[in-house]
Amino acid sequence: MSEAVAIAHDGHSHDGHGHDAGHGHDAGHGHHQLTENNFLGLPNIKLAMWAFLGSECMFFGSLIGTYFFYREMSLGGPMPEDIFDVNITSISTFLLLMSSVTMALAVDNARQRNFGKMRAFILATAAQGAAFVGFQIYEFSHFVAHGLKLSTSLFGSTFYTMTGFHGAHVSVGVIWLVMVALLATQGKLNKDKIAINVEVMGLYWHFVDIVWIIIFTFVYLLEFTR
Amino acid sequence: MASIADFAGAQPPVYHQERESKYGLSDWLTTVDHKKIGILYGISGLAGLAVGGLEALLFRIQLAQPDQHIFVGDQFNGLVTMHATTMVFMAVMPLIAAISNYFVPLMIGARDVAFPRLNAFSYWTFLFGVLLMHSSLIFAEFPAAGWTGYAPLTTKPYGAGGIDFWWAGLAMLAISSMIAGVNFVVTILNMRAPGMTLMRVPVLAWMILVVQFLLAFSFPPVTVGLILLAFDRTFGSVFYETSMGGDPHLWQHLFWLFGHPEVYVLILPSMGIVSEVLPVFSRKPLFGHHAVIFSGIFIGFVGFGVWGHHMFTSGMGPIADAAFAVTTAIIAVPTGVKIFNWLGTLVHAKMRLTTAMLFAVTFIPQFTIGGLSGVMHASPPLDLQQHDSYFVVAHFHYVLVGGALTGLFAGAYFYLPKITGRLLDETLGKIHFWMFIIGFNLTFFPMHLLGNNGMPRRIFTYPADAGWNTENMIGTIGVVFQVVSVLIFFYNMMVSSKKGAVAGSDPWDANTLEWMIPSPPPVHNFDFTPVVLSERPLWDHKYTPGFEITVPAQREEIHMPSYSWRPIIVSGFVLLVLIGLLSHIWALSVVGGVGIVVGVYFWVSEPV
Amino acid sequence: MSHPTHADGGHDLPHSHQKHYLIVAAVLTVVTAVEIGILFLPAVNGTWWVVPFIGVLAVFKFGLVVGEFMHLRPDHGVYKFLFMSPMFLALFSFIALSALAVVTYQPFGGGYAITQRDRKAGFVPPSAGGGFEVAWPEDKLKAAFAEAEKGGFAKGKATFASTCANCHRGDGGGMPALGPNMTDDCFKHGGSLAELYTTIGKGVQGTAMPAWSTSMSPDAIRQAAFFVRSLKGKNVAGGLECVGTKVAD
Repeated sequence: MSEAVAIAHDGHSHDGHGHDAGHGHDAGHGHHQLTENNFLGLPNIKLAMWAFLGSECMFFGSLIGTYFFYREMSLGGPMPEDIFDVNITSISTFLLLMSSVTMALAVDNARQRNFGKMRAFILATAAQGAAFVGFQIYEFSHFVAHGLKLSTSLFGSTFYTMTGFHGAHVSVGVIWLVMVALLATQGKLNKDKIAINVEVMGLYWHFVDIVWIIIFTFVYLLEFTR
Repeated sequence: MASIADFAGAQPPVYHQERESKYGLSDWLTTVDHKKIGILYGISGLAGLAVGGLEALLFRIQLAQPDQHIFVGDQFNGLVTMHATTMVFMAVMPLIAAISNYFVPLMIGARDVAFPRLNAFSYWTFLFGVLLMHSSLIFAEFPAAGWTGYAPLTTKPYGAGGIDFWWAGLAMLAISSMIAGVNFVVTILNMRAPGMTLMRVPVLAWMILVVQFLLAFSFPPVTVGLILLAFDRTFGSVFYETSMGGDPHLWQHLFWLFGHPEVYVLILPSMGIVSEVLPVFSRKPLFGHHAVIFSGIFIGFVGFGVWGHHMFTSGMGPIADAAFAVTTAIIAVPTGVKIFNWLGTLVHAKMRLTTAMLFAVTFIPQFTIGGLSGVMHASPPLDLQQHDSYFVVAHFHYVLVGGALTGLFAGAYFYLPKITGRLLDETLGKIHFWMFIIGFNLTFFPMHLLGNNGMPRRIFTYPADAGWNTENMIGTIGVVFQVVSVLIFFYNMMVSSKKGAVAGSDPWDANTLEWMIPSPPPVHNFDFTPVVLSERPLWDHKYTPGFEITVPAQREEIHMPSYSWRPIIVSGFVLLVLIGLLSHIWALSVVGGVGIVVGVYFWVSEPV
Repeated sequence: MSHPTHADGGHDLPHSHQKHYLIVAAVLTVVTAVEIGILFLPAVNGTWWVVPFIGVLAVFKFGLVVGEFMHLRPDHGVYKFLFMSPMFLALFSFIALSALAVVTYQPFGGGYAITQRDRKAGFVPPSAGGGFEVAWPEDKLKAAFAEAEKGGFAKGKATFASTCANCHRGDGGGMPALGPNMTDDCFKHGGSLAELYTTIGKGVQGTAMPAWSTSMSPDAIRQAAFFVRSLKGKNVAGGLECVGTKVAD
């Protein structure tokens, strides 16, 4: 997805208002700048990420909707209140929430061009993400040991599918973070493009976090209300 | 009066490209040029049209006379299922993608789409999905659960192995469409030529923008539905398993939550084409240009809130039925607005009745018939009578063939000269037009009567004394007309692309930017980026003093993306993951997954 | 705080937001702690506002991460449109799916499926076991009725009073030519929970009994069936004569 960066214009403020119509002509004649339409003055890749996250809203909306469609409709097997452990899940939730903070700090440092600190924060984010996935693997095996499998009941099917796809998204995020940290270490990233690339990666990561905010409250905590 | 010959004096831009172009087959496999990808989509779409048409011909032969036994039971069901799936996903959608790919960047004055390699990835993923689904013919039997794939017809006990190919193929199409949607949304929003404010974006590009939003946001629900189905079939989950408390209606909700916006995905581009063709051949601006755009946007949003009208017979209860009835009735309003816009464009027009214009004009009444029978279905009591009858078949064929496909034919005669550089033969075109229109109406108009006389959909034969003989015979004759007419169209395309009259830049005296550049356009599209001053930039350049497009004195420096093997390779790994899942050879999926990660690593580190 | 515009790779380095991010992190932590902690307060957990309250907190956290960490609040309107419009579409479809689950038709016949929701509604004891039970043993039923009676049968009784009583009389004794006596030992169309569920849902052709599945949720029908079954053998005064098959204890 980095290609958009190659052709996106640099040097625009985030505020696209007042961006004049004749821009494509004005900016095109320097030797280091190439003409490419950029009507809104916004980087393509960031627009694409927001649109993709919109699409992901529909994806997770449907998955969580399916969970609620079948909530409390299971005929047997372990029920949520029998096996959910609010302590363990709170710890992993907290980890993921804090990984959002380190991610935000990584983006901030990328903008400041403190690439060393940026890399450290990226790796810290990845570590917390990996720990979250570890907690999820533990949770799944714990549940299976208590007799809840994918095929046990509607609760098993909906729960594993929904949280499993969230976990898969976290895993993709971890791979992405590690990849960017590696590329940054090897100096393969164009220093002018690092900030926008890390920012877009951050958007994805925060999105994975907000999906978990919803799942944690409306799937886990709801079972503990009376 | 200025003329577009002025542009001949512009100097071609200075290129920056990482790698020189390739030639021959590898050029087509590695291309990231939106025009070549558009042509690939076009060829795939025409092939899909041929396959889907053949399937229709076969089951119409079965239905021509009562009590025939040529294609019985699941053979017939398989033909019907694959006809619909092919026509929707492998004919009309790729033809729309062809027009979007080839013409959207040209219309908005861009040199390519926002993400050229992702664009190539979308195409290959689409193609592999199509091939995967059709390979069920070799490895299993045709999926026979209807294109809507209602559970439990698709679950393990009732749906045979073909269903695995069906969901896997559709999953690839979903990935492809979602990515293409995001790509084109960004392209149209951010890569417009200077001066092209949203209200100056050509109507076709606008409708395609709405469509790309629909693709990006409506495919995820059906992706989820397919994932649940795949899990049920592969890993034994119980989503659609009634004995475990599962509810097959869940599939219907998820499917139609996608399925109804999908209907607008199919029809909006044709509405856009008609909105471009009518003004050009009427030599007038589009009547109520802004109303056409805003009604398109409105359709896009409300399209997400009407899915329940496909499910009135499933017993959702009076409250849900009433809500969906209201939204369905509301969505007819913007559609009606557009029809009056087109009629208004034709009033007092000095029309040039070319083949493109004939198709565009015919679109209006045919689509109106389909729209009116559609509004009838907004009423639950009426819908209960018509559900699953041939009346419904008549309705959606008037929309999708009389509307979407007719519009695409108009687009073909209008836009193909830009692609090939040569005009299509008008005589053959008019034969195509008349045979197609007569055949279409012969086939589908009697189906209204069949439906009212009680003939259900998806039955492979019927008794001689049911009173349905005449209409069915007429319908089959009509299909033969349509098949012959499309064959004439194919012949016309092949011959005219070699021997047709040379089109030149602007054969139709048209309005929009794509007609200011040579046919076929050069790789970089525009020698210079035009500044847009009005809704009809090229028309105003030619006929409105003060609105001329000026040629800059300086040569432009541009960066053209280089060819890349990465998209087709990553797409191949996606295919591998799905083959592993449906064959239960998990190692293939693991290899595919690792391949995707490694492939993406090389993708992002490749200089473009 | 101020919202400096920051150039992507421009020459002026943008302001650092580090402090701001740390404040947001602290708020997120506190809110999450409140969300979890409130469930451990017996005095609070159980009041009607707990669920809406943690819902509001979740939405608040959602907004904070999107607005501050993802920087959407001060960012360009196009980003807002690209994200918010599908987000609201998703919210809408999510609400619709959850609501449709309640009203969606469930196939009649084949038995009486006890869902987790039935257990929570209090008319099936938690020990009753799950699965697809066609007929319950009488002792199991009696125990279930005893348990449900403590809660006043909740919905089932209310449904009976508002709907069934019009023809079956307020105490279930029956009305001539309208509805038979529910409190004797006889049932015209079967006395098992499954049969009662089907009778109420589908109605009986050629009699005054309508099909209630068109206006009642499966849940309400189950609870009404359960309540009706508990009336058996009460033999209220002035009830109609026995019609149909006597159901043994």
